[in-house]
Amino acid sequence: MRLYWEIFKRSFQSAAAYRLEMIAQTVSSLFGILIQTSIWLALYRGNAEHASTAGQISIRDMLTYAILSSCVFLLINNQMIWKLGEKIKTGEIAMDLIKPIHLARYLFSESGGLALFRVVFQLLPVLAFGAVIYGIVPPAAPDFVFFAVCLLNGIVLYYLMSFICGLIAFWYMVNWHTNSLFHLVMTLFSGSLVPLWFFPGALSKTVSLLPFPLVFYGPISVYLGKRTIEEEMVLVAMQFAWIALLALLLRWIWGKAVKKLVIQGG
Amino acid sequence: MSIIRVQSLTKRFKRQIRRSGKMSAFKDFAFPRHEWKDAVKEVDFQIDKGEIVGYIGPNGAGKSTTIKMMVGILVPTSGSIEIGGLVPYKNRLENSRKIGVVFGQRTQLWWDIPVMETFRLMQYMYKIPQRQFEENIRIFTEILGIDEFVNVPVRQLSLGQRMRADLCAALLHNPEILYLDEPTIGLDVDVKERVRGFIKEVNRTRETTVILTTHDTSDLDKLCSRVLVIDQGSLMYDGDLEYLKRHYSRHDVVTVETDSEMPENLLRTRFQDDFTQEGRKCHVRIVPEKDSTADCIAWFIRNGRLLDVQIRQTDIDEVIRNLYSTFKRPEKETGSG
Ligand SMILES: Nc1ncnc2c1ncn2[C@@H]1O[C@H](COP(=O)(O)OP(=O)(O)O)[C@@H](O)[C@H]1O
Ligand SMILES: [Mg+2]
Repeated sequence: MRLYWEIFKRSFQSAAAYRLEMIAQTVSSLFGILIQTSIWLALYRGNAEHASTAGQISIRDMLTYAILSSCVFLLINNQMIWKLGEKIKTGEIAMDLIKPIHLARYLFSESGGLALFRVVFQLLPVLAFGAVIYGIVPPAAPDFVFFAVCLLNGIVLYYLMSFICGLIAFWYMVNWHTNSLFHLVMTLFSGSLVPLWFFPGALSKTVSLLPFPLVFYGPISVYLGKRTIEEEMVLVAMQFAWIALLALLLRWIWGKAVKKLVIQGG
Repeated sequence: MSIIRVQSLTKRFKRQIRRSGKMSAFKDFAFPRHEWKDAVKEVDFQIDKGEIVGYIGPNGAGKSTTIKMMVGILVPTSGSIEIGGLVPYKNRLENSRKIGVVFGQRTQLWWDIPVMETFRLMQYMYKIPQRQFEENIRIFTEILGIDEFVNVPVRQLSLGQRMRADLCAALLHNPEILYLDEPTIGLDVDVKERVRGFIKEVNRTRETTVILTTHDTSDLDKLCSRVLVIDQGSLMYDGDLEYLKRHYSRHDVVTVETDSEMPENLLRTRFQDDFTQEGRKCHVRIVPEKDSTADCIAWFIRNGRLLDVQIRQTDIDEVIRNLYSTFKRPEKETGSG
């Protein structure tokens, strides 16, 4: 446990080396917010509210949603597919295998450290920008506690999914294919652009069984108070179930991947 | 009692054959053909605790493949390996705590943070007691001079500095066995010397068993008493370095420069056909059974005025070529050579 805390700290420290990239990314998330909010403002066309499967959604709710979505993205974004792909291509993965560590945990701590760095230097500025320009709906206190739990679970879920997709590189080397496909699926089904409450009823029901909306749509809809306490509990339970399932899947694929590596020699 | 036991170790790789000519890329894609390559074939050896063994052979001989099997990141196709009673690929994690590994072309240091921070991370990774950690850092600083750059991020280090840091990182947890795959490749003479001194010292004080692959003959001279020679996957020689050199490095070359050209017939009476002349320079091949370098130089001193003398020892690749031709002579005579 101590080891992973130390990795977390060092990762935070090493992120400082990429100041320029950080600034560029902050600028691009600001643009992202500008674009998304303009679209929503245009779609609402002066209406204060729109009907949805989660009741009436005000324009302020929607603007808050867009800003929070950008923030969640900053928290979870880990480039794991690219990172694992490089390790496998260059054979650096061998160096990881001769250390007494679990690579998945190691890289989780590492991306945690980077995420914390982004919270301080990107997320807070972006949030402040959003709050000043558009105003953010403050959450009710009990919602906020659920939101925090949901958000953390969402981070873990996203990590598990991206790590599993990254492992595909053991079999299929063209990792930018994997990466685009994964991001496409995330964009469509996670609710990062369009909240599930605007999806047609049947589609919304189907998609909400998948793990993707548990990363964006789940936590943000809780923040906005669009769920009853029972629904919130179901949401968290689903997150835990998916985490358990994906963790098992990750272990299984990891075992297969290592087996392939040690037989074929990378 | 051997700490490393390797028995009829074989690793067979599957490789795709690339065609050439018309539509080759299409054919390769549609009808891939494979061949099997034995990177390591029926290799046997045992290594005792505290030995330093040089593992040598030309490029592609199978050295790295053998090392990878010993550290547990490659499974043998057949045969067995036991390292301190463990089968490495079955007990990769447990084995990893007892070994230190340096691959010359790779680093295990964290790229963006100071070297010392990686060392501290190693401390947690291998659960190294604080006393041992401090003691090791002190020793490493003394021999390798790492204090010059421990606070510099790894990406700013020179190759020599990085290699020194990597060696330290591999040894912080006092491993029982140290695997070094081409540790001195690309280093300048001064750093090479330090690295060798360090390996020697660690081996002496801690009885660390060291296995190193190298291309550099002087690594072997300075470090190893025993060498294993591998070529095309097969073990060609296992034994004394001295014996190997005496028997297979047949002709060291002495180059003598004199103030005036030596008469050719005089040279011929002394050296028969074992010399070539290049104006005032004269290259003599010393055949150990018949002659010695000292006698040769003494003869030149008696017969002329010397300006310069150079002695070139057979390098290890030449030794291996000689070794190879001894074993494969029948094939060589009929084949293309
Ligand atoms: N993963 C692999 N797949 C196929 N062939 C391999 C693989 N790794 C090594 N080889 C082949 O095995 C032989 C031995 O390689 P290696 O052990 O790296 O040699 P050395 O380290 O002695 O230079 C070479 O012919 C190399 O091409
Ligand atoms: Mg090699």
